[in-house]
Amino acid sequence: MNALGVGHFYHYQGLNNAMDGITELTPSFQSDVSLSNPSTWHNLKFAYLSLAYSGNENSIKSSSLSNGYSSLSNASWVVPIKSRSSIGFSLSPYLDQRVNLIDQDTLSFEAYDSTYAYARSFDRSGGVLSFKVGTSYKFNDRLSLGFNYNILFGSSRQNESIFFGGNPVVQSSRIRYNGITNDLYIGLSLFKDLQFYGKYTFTIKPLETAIEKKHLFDDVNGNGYHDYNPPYYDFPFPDSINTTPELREKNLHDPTGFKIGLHKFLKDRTAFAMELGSMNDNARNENPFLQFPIPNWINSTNSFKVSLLHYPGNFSLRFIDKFNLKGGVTYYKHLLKIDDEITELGFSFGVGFKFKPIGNQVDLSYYFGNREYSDISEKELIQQIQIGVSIADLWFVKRRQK
Amino acid sequence: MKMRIPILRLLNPILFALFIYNCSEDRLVSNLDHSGLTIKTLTIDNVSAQNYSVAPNLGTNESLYLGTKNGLNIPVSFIEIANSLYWSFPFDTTIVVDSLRFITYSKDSLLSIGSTPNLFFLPDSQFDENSSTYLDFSGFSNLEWQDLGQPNLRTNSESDTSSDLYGDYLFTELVWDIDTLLTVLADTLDSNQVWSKPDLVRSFAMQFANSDSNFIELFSEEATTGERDPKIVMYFRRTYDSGDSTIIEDTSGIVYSNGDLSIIDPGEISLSQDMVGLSNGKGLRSIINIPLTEDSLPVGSVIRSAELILNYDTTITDQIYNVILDPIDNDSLALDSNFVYEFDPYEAMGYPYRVSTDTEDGKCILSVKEIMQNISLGNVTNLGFKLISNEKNDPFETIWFDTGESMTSARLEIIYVTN
Repeated sequence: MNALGVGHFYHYQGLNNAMDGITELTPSFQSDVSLSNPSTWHNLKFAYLSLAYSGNENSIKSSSLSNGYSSLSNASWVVPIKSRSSIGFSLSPYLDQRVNLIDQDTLSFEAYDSTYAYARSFDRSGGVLSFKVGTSYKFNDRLSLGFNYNILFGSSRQNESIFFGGNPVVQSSRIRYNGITNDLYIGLSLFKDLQFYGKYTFTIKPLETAIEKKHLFDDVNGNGYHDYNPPYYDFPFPDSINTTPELREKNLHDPTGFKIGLHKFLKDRTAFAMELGSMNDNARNENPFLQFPIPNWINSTNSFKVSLLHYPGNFSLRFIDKFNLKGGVTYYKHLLKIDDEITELGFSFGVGFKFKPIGNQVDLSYYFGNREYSDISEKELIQQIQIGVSIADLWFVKRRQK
Repeated sequence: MKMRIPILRLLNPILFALFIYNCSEDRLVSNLDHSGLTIKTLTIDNVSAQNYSVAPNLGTNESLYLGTKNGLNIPVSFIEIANSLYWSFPFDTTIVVDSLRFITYSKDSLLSIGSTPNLFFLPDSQFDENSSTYLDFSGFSNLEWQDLGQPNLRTNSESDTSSDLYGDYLFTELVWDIDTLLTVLADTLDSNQVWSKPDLVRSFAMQFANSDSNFIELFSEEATTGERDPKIVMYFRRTYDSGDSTIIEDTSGIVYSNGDLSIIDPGEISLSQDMVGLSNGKGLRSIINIPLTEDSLPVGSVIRSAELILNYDTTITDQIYNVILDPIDNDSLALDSNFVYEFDPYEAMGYPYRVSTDTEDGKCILSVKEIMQNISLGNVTNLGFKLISNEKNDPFETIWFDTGESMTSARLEIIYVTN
């Protein structure tokens, strides 16, 4: 999926973070709080600094292909203000562009009575981060609203190579991205034990890019960089090349969509949640440069998630009551711009441990998914393990000197 | 706010495991036919060339010549002896100069005394190793020079015999007795000949006594790092005190040449329309025009190989010949192929665009990737190329390249990658 459009969106790769589990809108971090949903933040008793780190593995068993990577999946800081409003900041990866492809066959061409064998490859790395500024306001016990201002920024570097005659000729490019999307959240308490949550996503500034295509060069030492320093300088000498103007493209990612969720308490500390979402991307990736390596991208996504949650006891001293358990099932159906579709069925299980009276928490979660492509017979297996640490404290409160 | 130590202990290994998780990356095999990178070729076969002549200068050649060979005449060769501390020895009361010998070396084991030149000396004569040509010595005469006669010959071999008895011949020394020049070479009355003066001139000339068809080749100062350079050996006796005793020592000192030059007269040269020639002895050079411009290759292309292929007639040139191609740096001028230029009218760019190669099997293939890439990038203006013979080539050999409109004419073959 990394090769589709601008890349693979992190919110379609397992869990958003270890604290929230598989759901986004409905509370899972605490019985009335989801760190991914600003409209619930004012229910926090303390300010939280929360970090989550994830390890991912995508594999295709029959081809013995396996790709693993790990990264910070979320860092957020949320401050409730007098249990009526809140403000929060978070930094998380938004999309991943890691792609590494090689030609399926070694090709050949003839020139001047000689036959040259050549092979092409393509690799890209980098992605886009999301910096969110969120806030919430509680109108009354039944209604609250939340808002996320989501700044997207990032860059990637890609090398397109053709290897022949002993070393590759490389087309190196650097791509910078920026864009702004917003999310509006609503939290509505329908009954005492039934809550409704909603989210509407819209784009202020569709993701745009500045592409800097570097001059082709002979990569003499094969390190992928256009080297300056002798004896490893590559041909042509970097100083002999004129810089080409940046190519700017707009509307690479223009999401609009909604998500709704229901949260129902089954017992005091046990709840059932479900979420239904639909997202459309009005992107226009018409530039051939952006259509490589796959000239297709996700046009719309429908998602459905169900989750069973067990919250820790707020005042219980029993060890067993300090655990937060969450399990769930997710289903995605991505429709691509050109014909194809991708479906994914995934399962997750998470456990959290709450310690100290203020509610510090450590979370560990695991996701296992099965992704099917309509144009590929083999299935992709996704595994993700996440660990999260949330530290609570009182911020901006005057304390008495000891 | 303090976290319990057991919890930290629990977290540490988990965090460590996650951090080292980023460890596998398998390449996916895919069809990249729609890749933007393609390999293409460009052949430029309308390469044109024109000969021009520059008065030949063999100052950097590794040999000194005298006589006539392949229609080229070398009437005289000059040798300049360097300044040295030894030139002050005749004025040192502790040193008695015994004798002076002027020595040159030949690799001809069959050299006979009848085919050796005479040595001449004239203190006022001067030449410039790097620029003097036959045009400067068109009326040269040795009448005013002091004739030092013919040399004695001394053959050297590894077995230390005076003949090539065991086939281990090394070289032949040509030794002139120049004792009579001692006072002239060391004369302090002439301010130009004080040993410490950098502009002191000690020039010798070699010429055959008669104008028959003799030909001789000697080592020049460029051939070796001293051992076979033309030189003067001074034999002397030094007396000095050491402790309570006086020591008398018979020894010698060597003064090497610091410049030598064979004056070569190319005579009349006949040129062909379909061929261009290169010769150090004839001063024959050529200009090559390759119609490659900034627009010849797609913008952004990178040249993987660019070979200028010149074909030559192996029946005329059968030995390996080193050819140099150098882009021209000054604007073109009206070239007169029948005129002999005193100096090369074209300035060349040199490094890194200057390339050279040995000819082989009727082909001379010059890699011109660097200069062609920069022409296509617009960094260098294509004003043509100077094709010259390497100074190490035999000056009596000429290579003739075919530039006519036939299958074997000159062409440029470029393989490039474009996006």
